[in-house]
Amino acid sequence: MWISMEVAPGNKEVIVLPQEMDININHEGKVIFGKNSCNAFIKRSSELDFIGGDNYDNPMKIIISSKLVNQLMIQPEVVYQIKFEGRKIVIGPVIGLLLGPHDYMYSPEHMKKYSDRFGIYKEIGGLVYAFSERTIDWKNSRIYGLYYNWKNKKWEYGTFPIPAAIYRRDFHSRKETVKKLMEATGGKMFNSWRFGKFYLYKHIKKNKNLLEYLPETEVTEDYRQVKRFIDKVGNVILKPIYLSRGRGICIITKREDGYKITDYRSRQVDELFIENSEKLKDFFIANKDLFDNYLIQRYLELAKVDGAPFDIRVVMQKNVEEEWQCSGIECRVASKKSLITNISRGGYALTLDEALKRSFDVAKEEREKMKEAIYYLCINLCKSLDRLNHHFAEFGIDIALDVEGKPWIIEANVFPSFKGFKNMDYDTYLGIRYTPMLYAAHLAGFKTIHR
Amino acid sequence: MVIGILSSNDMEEEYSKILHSLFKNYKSSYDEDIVVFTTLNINLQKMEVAGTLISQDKLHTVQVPLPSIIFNFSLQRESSGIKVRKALEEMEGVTLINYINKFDQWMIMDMISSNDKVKSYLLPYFIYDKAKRDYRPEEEKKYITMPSRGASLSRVIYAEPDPDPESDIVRGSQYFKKGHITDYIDASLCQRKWLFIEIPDIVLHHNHPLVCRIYMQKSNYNRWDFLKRILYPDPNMKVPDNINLKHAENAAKDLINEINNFLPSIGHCFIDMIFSQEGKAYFLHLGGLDQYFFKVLLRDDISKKFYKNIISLSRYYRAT
Repeated sequence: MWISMEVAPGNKEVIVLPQEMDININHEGKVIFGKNSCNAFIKRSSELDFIGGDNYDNPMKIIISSKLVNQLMIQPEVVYQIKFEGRKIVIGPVIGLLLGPHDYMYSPEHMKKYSDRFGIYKEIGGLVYAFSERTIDWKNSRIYGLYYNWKNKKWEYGTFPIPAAIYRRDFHSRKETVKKLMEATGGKMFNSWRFGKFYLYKHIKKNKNLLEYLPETEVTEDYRQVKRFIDKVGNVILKPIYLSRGRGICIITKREDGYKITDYRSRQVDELFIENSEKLKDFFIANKDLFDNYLIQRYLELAKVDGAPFDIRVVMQKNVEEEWQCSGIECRVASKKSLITNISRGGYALTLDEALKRSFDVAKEEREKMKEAIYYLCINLCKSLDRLNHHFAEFGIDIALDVEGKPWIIEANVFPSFKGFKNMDYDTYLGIRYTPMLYAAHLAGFKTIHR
Repeated sequence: MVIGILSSNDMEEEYSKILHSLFKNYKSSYDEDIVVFTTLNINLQKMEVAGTLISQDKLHTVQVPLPSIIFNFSLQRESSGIKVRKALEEMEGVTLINYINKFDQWMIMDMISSNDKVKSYLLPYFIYDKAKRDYRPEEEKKYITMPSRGASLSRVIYAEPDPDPESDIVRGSQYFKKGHITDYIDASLCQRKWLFIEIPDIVLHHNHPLVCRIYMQKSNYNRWDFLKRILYPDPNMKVPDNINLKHAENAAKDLINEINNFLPSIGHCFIDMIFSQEGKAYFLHLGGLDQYFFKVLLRDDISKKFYKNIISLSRYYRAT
């Protein structure tokens, strides 16, 4: 049921409901808002009409005392949903967006970039606010942050209760805070942990069903190991464990007459040719950082569109049924002459259908099978990661297709970027923005008008 | 254990000398050493800093592990410096006090306006974006206008309606006719966003708003402590009888306590207050400690308090 609130001054915790409303609470009940709660007097009034409440635009009016508003830190101008569970009255949903530690950045202006997530706000209602881990007052169970005031379409500062569900949007929070938030919400903070590339590879190696989709990978140790790896697989890609978006990459291709190195570590791409192993050793001696948190991986011969390799970003998200769904797929085609596919390096985006059509000269049914293989590989990877002791609900999975059309797992990002979708397919982009909000409302214990 | 002081890139030597000359008198044998350094000399991979040790008899250049408590007295203008500072903000096991020292006043005013207890210190404010030309001041009203970012008093413009419609010149710290102030702002090279504060009749001194800059610092148990106040434009001016500067100090303390809820990293600051003719204090600016504080004000009796607060706040953060 949807409600709007009128605040009446009063020094007692009181909630006034329409006389005709059929609920089993008399005189006193427990009112819950986010993780805050308090006992309140329940009164009935024949002056309140028992009408409406069926949707956001038609809420039923209730009266609530200013004491209760202050105690529970309710933003009374918001339209909420209300639930009656035995002697409990639950008002919500109360959803938190956990941002990073940079508190001075989180202004109403900064928060505008989150506003496009509110296209489905009327399906969830309630209090949605953003906060930094540094602005949590654990002692008083309150959080200082910014909430989205739907009525005037602005982010406004305020003081809020600990939310019932949290969508984690940044990964620099202190471990201790994350642990406390997980405990406080009963595990209802999703994207609760970010793993690195190497963790993913170790995880996949333990899973027989996924292992065959993982290119051979090792952590770089010394020249001897790297050389042995190159001799074994031929072409390799060296990737920093803790960087993304194509930063810090170096590709070495073995040729009959030596080695070709394509180095993306600086802004300008450096290409050099090395005649023999001795000079390759010199290269590694001069570039010791390639042994500092780097992975060496077989460099796959990728499928190409118009001569340029591409990879596939699959956005997997949990829906309100708590099932993984594919919310969007984009193919990122490398810029001409480039070997890496990141759009930030000058590449461009294509739909999967278009990319498959242009790179594989096969029947439509074959292409459909390729799409299915990609989808099931991603579902299996998500389900496998779900078995870890963390709460995941959103991944950007990078898949590569080799020239045979076989999918390979390249990376799974817990904090993916959707920029490519914004330009390529705005409806898909919005769907990706909305799904976690709907999931968060579901976690907070409220229904959503699911489309 | 060493306490860190992060200074601007060009200020390490100067701050080291000033702080050394003051702090060496107060250091007890239980106090931690203090090292001054810049972002240029932080090795994030090795978690080390090279800087100037200021808490012993002589200044020493040292290389020490990255301190777990760092007081940021710097302004970072280069992207490389900002990157290092952000890394410190994110680092587990490091407490950086004052992530920044130059604040967006629009953001600060929005914070203040969200709280019933302190919003009475706020005058009506409006943002003007040069690129959008989205605000036009009303011709009959008085304003203070200033760039949204920072707290430079030299950029504060007082403007009031023109009493002589034939003249372009009116009284004020800058002279503008009717709405032409936005034309002046458009032409200035300084910042894109400007704030307009709609003011009542305020206390002026030689046509400049009287501003009381109130310096504060966190002390033990994370509590705010008053350090010093100074009047602008003339520190020696006679304060009008109806202005109670003690009230202004209390207002500044109320304000920083509220702002601090949203910006918990702040550990030292100043707040600028202006005054209505009736003597009521209103918020103008929030800033980190300015160079005038270090170069002039710190030389008197507050230096001991300033030092002791650094030591006790460091101990508080370590203990919590």
